[in-house]
Amino acid sequence: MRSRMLTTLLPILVLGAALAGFPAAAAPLGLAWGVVAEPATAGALTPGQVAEHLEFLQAHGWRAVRTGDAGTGGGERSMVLSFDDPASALRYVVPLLALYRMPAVVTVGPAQAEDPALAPVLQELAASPWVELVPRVEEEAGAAVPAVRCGAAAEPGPEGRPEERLSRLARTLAAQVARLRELTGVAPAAVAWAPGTWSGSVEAVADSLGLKVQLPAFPGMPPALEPPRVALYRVPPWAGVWALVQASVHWDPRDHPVRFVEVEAAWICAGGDPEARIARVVEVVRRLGLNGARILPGGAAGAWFETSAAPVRGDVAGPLARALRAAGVRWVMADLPAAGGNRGRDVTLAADLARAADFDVVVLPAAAVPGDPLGQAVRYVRPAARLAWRQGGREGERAFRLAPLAPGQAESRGLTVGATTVAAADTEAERFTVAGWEWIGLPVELAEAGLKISLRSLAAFALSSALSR
Amino acid sequence: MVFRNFHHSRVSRLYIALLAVVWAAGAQAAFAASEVKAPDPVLAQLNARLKAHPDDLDALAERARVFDAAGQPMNAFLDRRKILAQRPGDLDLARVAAYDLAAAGAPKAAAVFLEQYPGALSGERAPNLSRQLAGDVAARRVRWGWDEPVFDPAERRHEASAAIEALEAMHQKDPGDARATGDLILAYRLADRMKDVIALWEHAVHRQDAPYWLRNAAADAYLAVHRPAEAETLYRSFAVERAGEPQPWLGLYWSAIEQRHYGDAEKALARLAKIPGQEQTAEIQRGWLLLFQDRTAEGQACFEALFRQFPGDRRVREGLATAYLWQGLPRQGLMSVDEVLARTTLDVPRVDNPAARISRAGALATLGDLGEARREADDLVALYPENIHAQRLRRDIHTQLAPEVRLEGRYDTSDRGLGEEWNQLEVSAPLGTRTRLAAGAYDSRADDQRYSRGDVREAYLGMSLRPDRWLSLNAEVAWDIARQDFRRSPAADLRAALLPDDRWRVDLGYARDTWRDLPLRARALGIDADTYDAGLSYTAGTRWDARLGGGRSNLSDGNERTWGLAAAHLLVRQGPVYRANFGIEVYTSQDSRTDVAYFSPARDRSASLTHRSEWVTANAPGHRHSFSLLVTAGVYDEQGFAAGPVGGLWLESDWDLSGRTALVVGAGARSQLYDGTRELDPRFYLTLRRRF
Repeated sequence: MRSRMLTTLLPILVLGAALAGFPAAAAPLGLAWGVVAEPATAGALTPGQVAEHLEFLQAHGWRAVRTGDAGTGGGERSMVLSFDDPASALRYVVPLLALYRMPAVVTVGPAQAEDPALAPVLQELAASPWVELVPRVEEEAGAAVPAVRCGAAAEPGPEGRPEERLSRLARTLAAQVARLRELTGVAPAAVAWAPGTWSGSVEAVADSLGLKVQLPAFPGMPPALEPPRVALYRVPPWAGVWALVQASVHWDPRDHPVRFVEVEAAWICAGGDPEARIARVVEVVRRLGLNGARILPGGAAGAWFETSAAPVRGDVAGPLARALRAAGVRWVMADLPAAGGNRGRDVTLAADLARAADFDVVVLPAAAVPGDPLGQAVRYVRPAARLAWRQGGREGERAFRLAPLAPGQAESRGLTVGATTVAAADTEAERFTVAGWEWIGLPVELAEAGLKISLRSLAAFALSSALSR
Repeated sequence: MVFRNFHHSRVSRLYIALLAVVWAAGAQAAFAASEVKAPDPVLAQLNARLKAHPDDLDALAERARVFDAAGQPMNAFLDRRKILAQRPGDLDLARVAAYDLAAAGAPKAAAVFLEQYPGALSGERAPNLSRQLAGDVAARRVRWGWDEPVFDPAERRHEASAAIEALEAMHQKDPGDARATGDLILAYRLADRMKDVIALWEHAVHRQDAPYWLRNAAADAYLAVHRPAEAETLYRSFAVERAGEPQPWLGLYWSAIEQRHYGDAEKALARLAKIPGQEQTAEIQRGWLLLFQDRTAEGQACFEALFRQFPGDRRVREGLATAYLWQGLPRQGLMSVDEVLARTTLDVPRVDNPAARISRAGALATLGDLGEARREADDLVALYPENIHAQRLRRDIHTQLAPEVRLEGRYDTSDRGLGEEWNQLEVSAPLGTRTRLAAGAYDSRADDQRYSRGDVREAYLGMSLRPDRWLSLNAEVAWDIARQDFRRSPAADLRAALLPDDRWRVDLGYARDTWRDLPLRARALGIDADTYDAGLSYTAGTRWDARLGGGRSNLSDGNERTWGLAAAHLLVRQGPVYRANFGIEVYTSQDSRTDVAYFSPARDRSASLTHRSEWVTANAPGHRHSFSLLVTAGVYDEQGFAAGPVGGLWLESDWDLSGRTALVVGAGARSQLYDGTRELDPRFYLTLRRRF
């Protein structure tokens, strides 16, 4: 346990200061397109759509930059354009890039790099002055998704250990880098990350291979990252031009305001089938149209995620977060337990919690301050995670404030209502809404009780996608 | 009434949604067609041939034609580009390739592409190509402007301005260019420049065979400038053609509402409800229709029912908030609007909800916070200079903060049927946003010269103050300038109203040395009075209200008079043209002295039924006219006399002439018992108020 704590702590202490906190200067806007096809096919964009996007960006003063420039900020209204399908990018996009005089990145996954049929395509792309080839990291094929578990578990096999996974990534990525160097004559300096693959530890692996500019992709609105990181918004096939602008300001109308359900991880294992309980949480989310979930994952006395710093009661936080994400929840939050006085153990708990799932928001204890090692540990593992701090004061620790989402934006305030009856909870939520609190949630049991009465009884929590039946 | 601001923004939103739907439907259809299409054998042959002979220019040209025919302009462009690499002097081909790019959705790229072939831009066909590309770029900006969601109003104006600049130049250069003219109409519509839309439509298009979207844009503009009959004609012109789409039905709905043809509006909603996916919109609009018909209680009930089903739907929330406001529940309405705003607006990036903000400003004004309301209105007008609802809001709020002159004349009866003629002139001006100062004078003249000493000649200064939502204060000091020898001290009157919520109200008053409201014969004796009074009322929206009041006056002749009253009113009919309510009122009074003539007898009491019928004959912003009939019938019981029936009937006409000038004229008669004798008292009054 001690050695594992050290492996967690050391990189954090080294890199923590650089990784924590809010970006001093935002990186360029990053946009990633998938397959481009004519005629239109399912899941693909047409060349006309891509052309319209590019013309829109150009007409509004956006300037495409290369990753080298992006790594140092790129300047006002700069952007990194990225295409994930080399074949269609070569056929349809490169001619457009040449006409618009816009440089772009074409990302190459491990299978694409090794595909002999794609070799001529990659060679032609490498010859284009408008294209920069960079490796793309994807989810490991066949990686097992852990199921919810109540109770302690046996040690994972060697292939499941984080160190092993990092080693495999290092090997794969090194092969991709070598292949691209062979094609272009120069080693790539940037690396793209498919959604859900990016973390602080894998970034350290990429960095060790000379890949200094990180291009993590996000299926929703991308977070604001500090150069040399550029968050890529994966442009969906249905996206209109304004989706690009929304990505530039990190705003999606579906993401605001935030109404969340709060779930104690222990509740999932409080009786009966835990999967059924997760399904109940998902049902609450669906009925109220919620876009957030707050998970209370336990602490030093007993954690509901894999950790070496506390007795493990079960593995709930990760599977629950994934189930909620799959149900369309945009903001998955987790509360770090209150500091227990043992700094090393608290930091390990924070890092292990962040490792358990790709949380969007991690709520730190009230005592934590910006730059605190707990926040650094979280941001090391999940650099895109947004930090929040629990409050004291009249609202108590159920309230929190969130760091701004992007430069120029204000802090947000949130809380889980403290009322114990449905009517009082609804009134409380309405009051806080009008007072400017943007993130408001309610415990899952109260939500279920309210839904038994009527959707109207929880009107202050319902969002536009709420279902009356 | 000034907050009926939604239809314009709703039409815009609908228009945007429709464009998106039309576009999405087109894209889906294209996608579906491509999905089911079998591989083209000609194309397969050409592909095979070009695989073997990549430089076969004939095969490339043929394949480009096949791609063109198959609706794959980008593929066609790529083949023609390859040919051009071999035959750079083929300017016709360069032009075709540029058309390909434009057709693929890249008009700007096409223009750049042609720069590589300068010769292609000269010659007979060049102007057409240049115009098409410029037109494509401009039209694209119009579409970008319509795309939702737009979170910063400046963004949409930016798109409209860029398009208008290009299209106006094209239209001026060639007024016969139908495409540029049509796109310019859309661009003006996007910029909410409705007068320009109409001018261009009437000058350059105005045809029933114009594309439906042009007629739709022109109809929207007519609707926005309050020419609903012309709008209706245009909407009807494509209602059959686009029966499966919501535009014509919503257009007809709004134009019917503007004309107060509520039956037609219902019919349009019925057609809308039959369109798949529009059922909820139709239900929401049904709630609005009830509100527009002044059936606010039913409108509120409708939105409450929708809210039970769809509590997260912002349209339902906006409707419910407005229903509360129109029901006279400003705080509940403000709370609901604030919640809508908290859910739909953001500071950075700027995400706005102007319709809800207009409602909010209205609620604030009702609650006495005119300063905040004015700030909000000014901000809205700066942000949305073409929004007539924001302009109207600002005008209304500025009117509320303007100086006012009030002139009143009436003929009424005082005690024992003694007729009096009254005149009043008052000038008031705001002092800040929560205080209003007033100065004025009263003059009365009795019919019976025996009591002319009781005529009032009075000058007064008053101040009304609304320091907070829950408190309203009024103070007045009056001086007797009648040159009688009564040696009256200045009269003082203080009143406070406590308004803890939308429903309850407590009134407290204290007046000292007052004479104006005493009976004529008491005034003629030089009597004055100190009075305490209190009232409590409860108002359940427009549906019913009840009040209870009482007071005590100490008159300077030693008489002490106490009185009490209770009343309740119930709205029995509420509609756009007619509304009616019935009420019951009970009154009693008692004097300590039995020997005073002016309040004789010493005790009396009455119970009456009341009725008010109101007909609204005109109802437009800045122009409203209504007639009211007021009837009372009851029993009056005086101490020492037999109880007998009493009653009255009045007709009143209220005019809002311009939003700044109001006129009220009323006349009627009352049958009253005085010491057992029945008298018929005529009554006439006229009030003119003008704000500057």
